[in-house]
Amino acid sequence: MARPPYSDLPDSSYWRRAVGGVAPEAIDPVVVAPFQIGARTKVAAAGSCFAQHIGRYLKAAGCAYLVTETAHPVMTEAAARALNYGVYTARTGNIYTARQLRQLIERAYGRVQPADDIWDEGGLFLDPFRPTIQPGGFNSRREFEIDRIRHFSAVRQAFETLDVLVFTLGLTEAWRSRVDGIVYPLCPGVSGGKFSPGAHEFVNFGVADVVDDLAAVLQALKAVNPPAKVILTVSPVPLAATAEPQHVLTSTVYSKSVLRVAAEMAAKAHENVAYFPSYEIVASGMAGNYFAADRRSVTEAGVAHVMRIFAEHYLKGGAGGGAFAEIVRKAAGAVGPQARAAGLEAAFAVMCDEEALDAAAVLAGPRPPGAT
Amino acid sequence: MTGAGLPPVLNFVGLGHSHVVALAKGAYALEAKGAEVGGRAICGRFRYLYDADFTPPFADAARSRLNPAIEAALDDGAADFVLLSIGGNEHNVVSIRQPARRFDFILGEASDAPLDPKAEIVPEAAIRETLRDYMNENMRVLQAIRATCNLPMALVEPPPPLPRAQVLAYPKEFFRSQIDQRSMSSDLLRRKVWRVQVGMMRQACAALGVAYVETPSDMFGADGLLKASVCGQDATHANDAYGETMIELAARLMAAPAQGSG
Repeated sequence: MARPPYSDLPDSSYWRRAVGGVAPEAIDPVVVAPFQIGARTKVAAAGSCFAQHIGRYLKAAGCAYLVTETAHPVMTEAAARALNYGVYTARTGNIYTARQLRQLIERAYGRVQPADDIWDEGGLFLDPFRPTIQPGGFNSRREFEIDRIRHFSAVRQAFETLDVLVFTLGLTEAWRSRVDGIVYPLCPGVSGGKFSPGAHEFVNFGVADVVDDLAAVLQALKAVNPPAKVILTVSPVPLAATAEPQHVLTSTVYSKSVLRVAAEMAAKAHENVAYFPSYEIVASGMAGNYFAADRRSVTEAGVAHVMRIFAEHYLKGGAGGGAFAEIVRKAAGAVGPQARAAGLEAAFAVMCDEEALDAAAVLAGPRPPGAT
Repeated sequence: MTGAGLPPVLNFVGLGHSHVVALAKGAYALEAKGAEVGGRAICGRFRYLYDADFTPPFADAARSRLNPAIEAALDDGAADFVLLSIGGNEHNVVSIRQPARRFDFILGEASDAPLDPKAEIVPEAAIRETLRDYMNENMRVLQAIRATCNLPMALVEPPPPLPRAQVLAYPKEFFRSQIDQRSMSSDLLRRKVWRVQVGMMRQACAALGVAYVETPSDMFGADGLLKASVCGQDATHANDAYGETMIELAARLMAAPAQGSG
């Protein structure tokens, strides 16, 4: 008589053995990592604000965190931070949606030329696709254009030389141009640009959209870098604001659900893609309350849990020793003040310009421009 | 009293870092000549912020309170205003020498100016934020002085970069690594970085209610650098003739009604 299919499953398949009967801090939802990251593996990071932690931890762990758009040595560290050099592999700013990443590749390779390509703010110029990338914007069209040529070159170099791309999916909601469908990271009018209902429209991507965008990204990556591998993860950080006519919590669950499904589908459809459960570790609540008092920011302990599990499975040698273990230990709050003194506060001072949505609402009145 | 009913002497306290030396020399020279501003003689008493009594500039690690010796220097009792020369050489730190990876940038106020074809072009914001970092401590000192003292205040703009020949004549005066003709930055780049710095200083002064004394056009040479006749005896400072001019300008500004008040 055949044994029932559940009789030989590993502990990870059973709630009681993998979650219910396990200490919260020991919850580890990764079963098998399909590939690993060695000391020389060039890892690139992109995505929503949660993705910044990945880069910082990988750097701290001594991994070959790939940065192709580097700060010039004349700059001090503080200046480089202010201009968002090294936050991600290229100076992309946060990439909240899969569509944004797709567009970035297409723009970097000259396949797409948005109609709305530069915002003139009365003598200062902003990049609509990274409007908060540097304080004060660009001082002239000439400066803007020189910097963007360098930026696109860095993006191409990243895609062509990375070994592993870690992409953190953040949002499904976005604003796009009615002219050519180009998607903005932030609604025009929030951190630059001018919102116009005739020029901009709200879009909330569904599963098919995100799957299609991810497939396009993977295809583009494969075309220039066939051996590249990708780790997809979903940011546990809730939406700062929703433009849907519904509660922000409802929109958050919808958005994260779409992203989670799309990531799963992409991972199942592509051999070189893995899914890493950042979202599950933090947002499920099973591993502890990893949200700060605002119920949006992820605590240091939450990030540390995520990165410990990441290291355990994806880093050769695991999280058991060296600089990575030390930074995780400190970040987990074992030595709070000392950790801050060691400069760790920077690891948690993430660039999250989505918060500008909330700030804009506070400053401008009851609703952001064009919100429905 | 003067005809306008003002005291016959315009008293001020001068406080500052290295550039204050030229200002002090200039003030003393003016006093010796019996120079007057608005019919009033000028009388400055200067303090050098690098003196041991004034360092560190703050009394506590949190920088919440100025060094008591600085507070005492400000609490003069007789002064009509405070003349400041805080920092001012940060632009030289950034621009004097080109690193192996050459850099240049577009100055917003002259965005069509030529660029170094062999250099990496960084955003002006990169220069501004780097200067902000280097200027941070001195700007805190300026803020603390403003917060501590109610007297009208003026900050004297640091002199523009010195001519190439002057800098190369004193290569080790202020810089740890030797600079030479090849490694030294272009005049244009040095002037641009200085322009960024003085723009930031002007902005900080406006926010604090501190009058800002600009370098007059006759202090510049044709190359836009400090003219040779007012250079000091090193690579970055001006001389007492420059000091005289700037003191006279500052005194006029502060003596004018409704000017320079905090």
